[in-house]
Amino acid sequence: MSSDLERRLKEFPAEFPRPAERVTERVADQVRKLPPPRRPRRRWSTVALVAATLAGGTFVGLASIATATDSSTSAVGDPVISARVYKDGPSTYVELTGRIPSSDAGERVQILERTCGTREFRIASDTQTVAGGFWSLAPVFFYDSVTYVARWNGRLSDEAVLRAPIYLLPFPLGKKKWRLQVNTRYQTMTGRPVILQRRTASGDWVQIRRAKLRPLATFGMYGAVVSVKQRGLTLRGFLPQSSARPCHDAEVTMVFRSQ
Amino acid sequence: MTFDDAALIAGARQGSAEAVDALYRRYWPIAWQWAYALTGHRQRADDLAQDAVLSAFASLGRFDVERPFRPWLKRILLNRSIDELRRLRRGELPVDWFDDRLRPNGEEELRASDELVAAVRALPPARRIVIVLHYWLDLPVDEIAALLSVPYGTAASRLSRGLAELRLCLENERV
Repeated sequence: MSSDLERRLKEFPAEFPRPAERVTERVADQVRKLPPPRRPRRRWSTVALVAATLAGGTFVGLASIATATDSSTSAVGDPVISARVYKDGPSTYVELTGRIPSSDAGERVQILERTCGTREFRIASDTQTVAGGFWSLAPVFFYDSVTYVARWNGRLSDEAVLRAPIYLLPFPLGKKKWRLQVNTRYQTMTGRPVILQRRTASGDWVQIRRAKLRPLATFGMYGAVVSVKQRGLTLRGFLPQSSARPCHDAEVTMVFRSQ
Repeated sequence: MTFDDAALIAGARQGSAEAVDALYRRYWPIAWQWAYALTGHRQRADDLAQDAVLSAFASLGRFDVERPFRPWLKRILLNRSIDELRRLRRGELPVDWFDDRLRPNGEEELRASDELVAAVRALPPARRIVIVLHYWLDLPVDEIAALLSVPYGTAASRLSRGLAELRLCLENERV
């Protein structure tokens, strides 16, 4: 009965009424009258821009490294960048596309990239726009936590941030103890909390243990030991977003049971 | 965030009225339905959704485009509704603002004959809001507890008791 009731409750929002047309139009008018949203000011180094400009070309090496620290850009007239991550068979690819405010074809757009954990942007590639001001790059393998920025005519786009998955694994240490371990080369995980959760009867996951990650003998490996005395619990490890950022997203382990 | 949302927000930041309008047309009905689920009243849903949507669109410049737009909007709306609940507790709103025994006031209201709606409406406010947040706005119990500033166990027990009351109410109606 309870599950049937829950199912009915969950399905019910499909039957909600819709807002009245006159209210929709009234609010739309107010939204249109809002001042244009402004992006937060981003700080860039003039040195960075000059270095990037001088470096030019496609896939230049470390010589073209630019440091991001100072200066700022405004929102109006900036290029736009979008990143699409998709799977094709066993591989994951990322495709970068975007647009410049001008609709001219043949405009040069540079793509800057910064690996997470570093402070330098470097020119990864450049391309030219087609009619309408659109540009795109051929898809590449996605395996890194990287931030991309498009640069056109001295103006910078918003950042497109890609985060590689971080793998959180429960490593059994006897029957009642596990080491939750992660592996990353981008950032130190020392002291960051990892959580052991159990599944309740209602299907929610609740925290039962919390431990701080410590470095293991292998470079880039971190672990935290958690123990549970009670048998028969359905468990999983959880790395919250606050622990995983800035280079990764939150992650959970596979589900396992206490014995 | 879907690719389209990112493009629309980028467009809105560029000053494109079309992008703002498209984003609004996409999310206004959703925000309104959330507000309706929370208030159970069309006019109050208008006010609550309008507040939340205007606030969200005014803050688009501060929005983190790496994150999805929909939960962000939902959070703004929920914060607004919690503010209203607090004002209600302080006596700054009429007592029936979040009243659960509201009567349908038009054809477009939720179907009065729907026993489920009637049963949800009949719940006490504290339990009703937990039911609505969990089942109609898809919030997990820990988030509800944080939102309402109550312990996890309190939120879970309100949910459980709310469900039990609903079940009882529906069974009684069948008898």
